[in-house]
Amino acid sequence: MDQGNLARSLISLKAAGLIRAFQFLILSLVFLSFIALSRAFPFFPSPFSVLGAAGALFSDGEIHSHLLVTLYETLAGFALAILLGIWVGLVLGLSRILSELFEPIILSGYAIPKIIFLPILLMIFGVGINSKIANAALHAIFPIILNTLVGIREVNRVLVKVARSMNATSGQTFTKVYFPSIVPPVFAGMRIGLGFAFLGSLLAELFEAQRGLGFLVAHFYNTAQVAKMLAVILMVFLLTISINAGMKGMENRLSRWRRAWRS
Amino acid sequence: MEELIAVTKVRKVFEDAAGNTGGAVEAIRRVDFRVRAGEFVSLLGPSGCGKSTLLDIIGGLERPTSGEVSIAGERVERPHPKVAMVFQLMSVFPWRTALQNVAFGLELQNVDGRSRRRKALEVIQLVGLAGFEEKYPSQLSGGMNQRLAIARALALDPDILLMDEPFGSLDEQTRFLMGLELLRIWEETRKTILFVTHSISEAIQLSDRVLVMSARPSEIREEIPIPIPRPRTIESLTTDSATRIERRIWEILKVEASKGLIGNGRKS
Amino acid sequence: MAASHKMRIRLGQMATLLSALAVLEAIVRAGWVSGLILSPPSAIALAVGRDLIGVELWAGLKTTALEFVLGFFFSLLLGLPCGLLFYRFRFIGLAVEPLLLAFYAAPTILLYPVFLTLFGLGSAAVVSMAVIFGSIPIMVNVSVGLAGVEPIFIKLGRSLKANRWQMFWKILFPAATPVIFTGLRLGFTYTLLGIIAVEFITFSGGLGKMVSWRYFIFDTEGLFSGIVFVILIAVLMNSLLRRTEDRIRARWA
Repeated sequence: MDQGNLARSLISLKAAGLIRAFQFLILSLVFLSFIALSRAFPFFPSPFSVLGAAGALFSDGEIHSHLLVTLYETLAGFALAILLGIWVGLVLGLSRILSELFEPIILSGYAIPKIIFLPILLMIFGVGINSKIANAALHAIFPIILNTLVGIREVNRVLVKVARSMNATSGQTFTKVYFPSIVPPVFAGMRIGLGFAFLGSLLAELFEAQRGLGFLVAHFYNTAQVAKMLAVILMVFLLTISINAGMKGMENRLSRWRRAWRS
Repeated sequence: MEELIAVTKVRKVFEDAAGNTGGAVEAIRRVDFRVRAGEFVSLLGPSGCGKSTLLDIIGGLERPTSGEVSIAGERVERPHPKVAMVFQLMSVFPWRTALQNVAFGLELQNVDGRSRRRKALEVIQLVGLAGFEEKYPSQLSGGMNQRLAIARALALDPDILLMDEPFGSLDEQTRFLMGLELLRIWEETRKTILFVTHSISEAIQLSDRVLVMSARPSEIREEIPIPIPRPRTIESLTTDSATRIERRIWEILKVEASKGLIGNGRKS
Repeated sequence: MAASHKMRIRLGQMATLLSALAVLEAIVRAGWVSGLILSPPSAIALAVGRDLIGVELWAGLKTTALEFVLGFFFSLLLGLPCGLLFYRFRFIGLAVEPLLLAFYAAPTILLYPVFLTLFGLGSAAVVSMAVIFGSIPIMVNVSVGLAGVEPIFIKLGRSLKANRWQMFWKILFPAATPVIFTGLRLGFTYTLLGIIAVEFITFSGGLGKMVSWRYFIFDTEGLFSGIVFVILIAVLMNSLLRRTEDRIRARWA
């Protein structure tokens, strides 16, 4: 989003620090309001008991196996999505005809609630871990395909011409022109895909599972252990936000040449 | 012919965003000139020299750090009702038709619909876009859209037109033809035009006088009258005397423009 | 794009779809895939027909539609003013927007137990979740759209001495329309997605519940029929929105 650049160009370092401080203030206010909420509504645990429950879950080891299961499902689904998705994205991006035929389908994939395919996956792969991996892959594959497709399509034609005019082989053109050009958008697609893969495995676990963080949330809800449930939800949020931030950082470093060129 | 625009000892310093004068940029050091009613004067200078800023000051969009600008004797503090501006970048609204765009200024002044329409049609005719009233900017060429911007300015019946490189984003042939169009309109309406450009040939083609500006922090290096008789044609613009004027201006400008190439002063 | 070319593409897509269906039909009939897992497309078509004349589909559709309308309405109610606020007080906007986007990127659907506890099992919980899904893209796009208006337009407004009101309604808002509309489209899409997902997981009602319920009672054909309907509705709405968005962007280009 261009808003980041706009903000950066408009504001000096001093103002950026002020914004950080303001964000901290907002988050503290949110925290305080949760405390107030817990006083007002008895069924709402206070943030402290949630944090305590989180700590307990870790120290008891109750959460470890579930965390690992979910992570495994996410990464496996993600890997699958990358393997299939980048390949499909490349093919569609390079072929005019194929992309005209199939791109609308990929685009509508974003608008379809992919959760409704979960019963099909459950029937094919059973209730175990494989259906969760499949769901994760299903969710993750769309941004990967789309970003790869767009990335390959938007390779600067002029740069390709330069390589051809110097008699580069197609192999060289690929590694020296296409590949560096598509790394930033493909990486962005993977970042979004990882988040979707995580979501996919969690959703599948929420619905029908025996292990995993999603299963834990449903389980704690059904057994009225609200503090523990909120603790798991909090952990999932923190995990997502930090991984996303980390990957965005990497992505920015990879795209540095791109932003400078654009401006 | 009395002075219509008086620019006196104008200086402009931009403070850095956080308010520190340490990072301040002096855009204009000292500019002094007069423009008489009905004149076509060009402000010619290298890129980034602050000529746009000067125009903004005359147009009332910026305040000078020191010095003053007055129009018909009145000091300029805000956009003057008798002054209309035309900008370089596409400033036509893509969501409005040509007619609606041209009527925009009148709309802001709450002129009634029928008069707006009448006036807008009149100026559209004047700039040679009759028949395109219902088209959208995306359906028109760059040159046509800039003519819309000029028409919009003319619809307000200003005495003075301040034009900031209006043909800057057009290709060379279109530029020349638009220049001829502008001269035709000027001769028909006899407005006072202050025209900013970085193109020597454009300045010579269009103006009575050329004020050559230095690089930033800018001053007026020299004032060059253009005695070439009007109407100006390709022939009259390529005579020996015309070429001599062009060379003279280039001599002055060469020094100033190369200051930008070496990297003396950041590009704006 | 030439009309004949477009038609050829359409035919190509139809052909691919039909051949895929034919292959599926053959696979199931031949017994390679158990009829419990995959129904042959012919049986699915029959189930679709049954649903169209039945009661369950329309009742579910009514519930989902109602939740959607309410959800989107409240998303607008929350999103538009907040977006304006974030634009008017840019400092607040620049601080809050990254926080909102980070929150939005996380699996917010996990919060459904909270709303179930607050509102019980039913449409109220679904609508509340829908508001979370829908309002955030709207507020962010409104403020970013307004803040991203070309400076030249603002300069023009100032040179013509436009007042605050004129500046907003005649310049800023029209200029920001493409971005704002994208926000609306995203809000629309994610609201629908969220509603179906919540209905599905919580069995609260509507089309989502219809699908997950049929899964649990082993009504395979009905399950596929439900899936077909959800896909149809989602795709239809999305293509309508995208078509409108394209037309807006064409004008604004």
